[in-house]
Amino acid sequence: MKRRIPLAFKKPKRLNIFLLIAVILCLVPELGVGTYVLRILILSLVFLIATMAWCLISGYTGQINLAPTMFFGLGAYSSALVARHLGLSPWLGLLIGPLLASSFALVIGFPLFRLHGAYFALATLAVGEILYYVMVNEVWFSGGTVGLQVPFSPKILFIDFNNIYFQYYFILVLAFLSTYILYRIAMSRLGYYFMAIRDDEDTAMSMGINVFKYKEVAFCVSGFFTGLAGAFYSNFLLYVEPSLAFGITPALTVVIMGILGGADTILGAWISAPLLTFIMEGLRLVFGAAGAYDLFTLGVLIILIILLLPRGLIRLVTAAKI
Amino acid sequence: MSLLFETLIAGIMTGGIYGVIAVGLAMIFGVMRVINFAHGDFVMVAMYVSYFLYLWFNIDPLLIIFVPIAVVAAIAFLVEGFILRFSRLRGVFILGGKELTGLMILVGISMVLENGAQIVWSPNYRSLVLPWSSITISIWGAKISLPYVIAFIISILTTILFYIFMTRTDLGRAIRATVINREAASLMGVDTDKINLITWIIASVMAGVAGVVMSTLFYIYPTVGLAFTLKAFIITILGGMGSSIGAFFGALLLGIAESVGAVYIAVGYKEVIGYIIFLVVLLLKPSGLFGRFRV
Amino acid sequence: MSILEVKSVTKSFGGLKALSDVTFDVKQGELLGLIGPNGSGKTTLFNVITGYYRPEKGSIWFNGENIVGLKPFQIAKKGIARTFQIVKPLSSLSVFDNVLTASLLRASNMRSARERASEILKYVGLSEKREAKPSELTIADRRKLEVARALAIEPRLLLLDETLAGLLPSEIDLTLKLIKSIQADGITIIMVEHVMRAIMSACERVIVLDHGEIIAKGSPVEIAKDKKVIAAYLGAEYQLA
Repeated sequence: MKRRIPLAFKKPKRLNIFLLIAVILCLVPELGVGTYVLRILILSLVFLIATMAWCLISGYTGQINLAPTMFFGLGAYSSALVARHLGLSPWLGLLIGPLLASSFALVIGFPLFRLHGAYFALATLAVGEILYYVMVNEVWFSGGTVGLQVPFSPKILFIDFNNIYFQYYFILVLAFLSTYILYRIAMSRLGYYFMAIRDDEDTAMSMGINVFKYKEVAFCVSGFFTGLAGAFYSNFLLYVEPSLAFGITPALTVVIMGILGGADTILGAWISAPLLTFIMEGLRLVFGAAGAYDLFTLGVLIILIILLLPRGLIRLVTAAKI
Repeated sequence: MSLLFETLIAGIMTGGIYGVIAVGLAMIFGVMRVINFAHGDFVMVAMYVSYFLYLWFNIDPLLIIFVPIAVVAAIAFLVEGFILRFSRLRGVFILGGKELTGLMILVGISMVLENGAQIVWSPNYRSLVLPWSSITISIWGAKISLPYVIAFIISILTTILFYIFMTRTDLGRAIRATVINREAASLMGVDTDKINLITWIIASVMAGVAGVVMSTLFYIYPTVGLAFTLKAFIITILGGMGSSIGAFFGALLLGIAESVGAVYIAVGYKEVIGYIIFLVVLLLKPSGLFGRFRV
Repeated sequence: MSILEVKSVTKSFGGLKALSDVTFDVKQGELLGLIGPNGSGKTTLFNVITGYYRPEKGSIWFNGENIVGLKPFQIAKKGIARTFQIVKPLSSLSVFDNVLTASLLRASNMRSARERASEILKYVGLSEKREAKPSELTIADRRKLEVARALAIEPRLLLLDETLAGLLPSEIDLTLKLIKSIQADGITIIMVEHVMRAIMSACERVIVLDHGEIIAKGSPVEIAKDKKVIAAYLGAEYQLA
């Protein structure tokens, strides 16, 4: 009893819509929206990248990572630590963060991928919590719960890292690049292998697919881009502390954005990340920053989504592999 | 030497309470293959209900233990009877299938409960100070606080009652049959829908007992549930999913490990000890210390 | 020329001996039947050959190489493909994508993989259903999909696990035709079956397993008369003098 959802996009048309969105986003600062809205857009783009990366490992490959913050946090702290302990520009974190995060993915994948299904999911949670507590306790290293300040970066020629317009375009470029790369990966032979692993590991192996290797590939790619998002994030906020980078809140936010958009898609995040970021911000405005209204709403949302629209919002638009 | 002994005793006591929580979680997993991510939050709700009962009516929570239990059981009924059932009936699953769909729904419910509690009751830490809270008694030279002892006794009693129920009653046997082989049980006339509901209610009742007992011992705050859930999950893994005896011993082990770790290693890492043991056990023996699927 | 040599393979699960000193060989290009009562270890044998289980004792030689200890994906790469008794398609992918994923193993790029997948679908007769999801297929078509997926990795040895079970007689005939043409293309096949007329008509040689042991080897006619085989299937009382 399946309703056939009409293919709203054919390839050329899909590209056009995407170009349209890209153009609009490029013009946003010119529309005079003000720095506040710009800040929220920047945040949505950060979460967008992390969400797309999450979808690759959890949606495409079926390995549900409940703590994408393990990568996000490593990326975020890289910038701060690079500045604090090495005295270098925190924007170097943008290089180190992703590399560190994907290396961590590689290493932690060895034990984690011995587990499957819900066991894997909860193990990722345990890993996330361990990292959180390490950051909280090793104050000499991470600044503990007080956190670390990320210092202002110097201006290099016209590259002014501290100008919000520059930051916006920078993250926009990162978002486009990430989308392109992740999308191409998902559509390639890798994508098929990931999906095979998700659907049936035994069958995948009978097709000659080295299941463990490809899980690691997906995990490392996911780690790379999530780390990238985190590295930008701490540079943007000029601050990092454990619950921001490693906490349950950002972790579940990414997961819910992933499911809401369409877990087994890359582009679904383009709908859910901005939408949820604005909703959460709106809730904070109405009920105050201290309230738990945003997470409460997220909780209600995820229940509703799974009950009513489990395949995500993007399925309202297209049934294609996206 | 006596410090070690006290640490061990304290660990065993807390372990007993963890055990009650874990057994409920293991049961839900055994019957429905779903991990109740909100299990710890059931405990949390019971903790708050006890707190307020004492605050408003000045009744010792242990005397009125059935009220928090009823509240938690009602929530469990709503969750399984409506939400989870609706999801199963719809038959559409996300990602990996039924297991993960249920898990994510319960993640949502956990968030609703935790943050709902925070909205209504504020994130402030509360504590329940009863007239007998500060009494310490001496067991073989070790000084143990009375609430711990009472909590432990209640936990043991609850676990024993649970064990008797599962092994001596028809309903208990029906539940065990469902754990071993759901399809076969259903073919033999077991009403699996009813069993699902009963399982949730029993598990939540146990979580409720744990909550009431916990409220006399620990701080009460909205996010206390997550740690309980994770610990319960760790214990179930340590004991082997589906094995209640295993869960019980796993609980004691965890309690001791935490206690010893907090005193001898570092307080800040108390929670982490469990997680590390968890990962280590999972890697070495994925089916747990006691093997799988027995009661 | 033997393409596969199984030597003294023993596999136990706990106390249960699923396979006991199993020894046989498979000639290049032949269609070998593997029969036996339920629970005799046929699927276990397939699982051992393809690397899903590891035997405690014994060796398995494929193209002069001992493949015991290799992982299933490595064995697939070496050229052994199998179908599963209870079909295991990639449920979220279309029929075409199922076969495509398998063809990616040998293909150098996506385009040639797609071409190969189309060819194979045509070969097994599933071209019209290429966009369908496996859950929408009939049981006969799902079996075809299993075979198509196995063929897509260009195996030299194909293990078919009860491909004919539950099919209508007309479907059995069609599937047998397909199997014979696969053999004609030079692929060696081991066929586990309960449908006796298929075994009798198609296989040159048959091996009979019972309780994990080989109790008979020979031509279909020979094993049909073999007393041990009859006893295994029908019980000792039915042995004719």
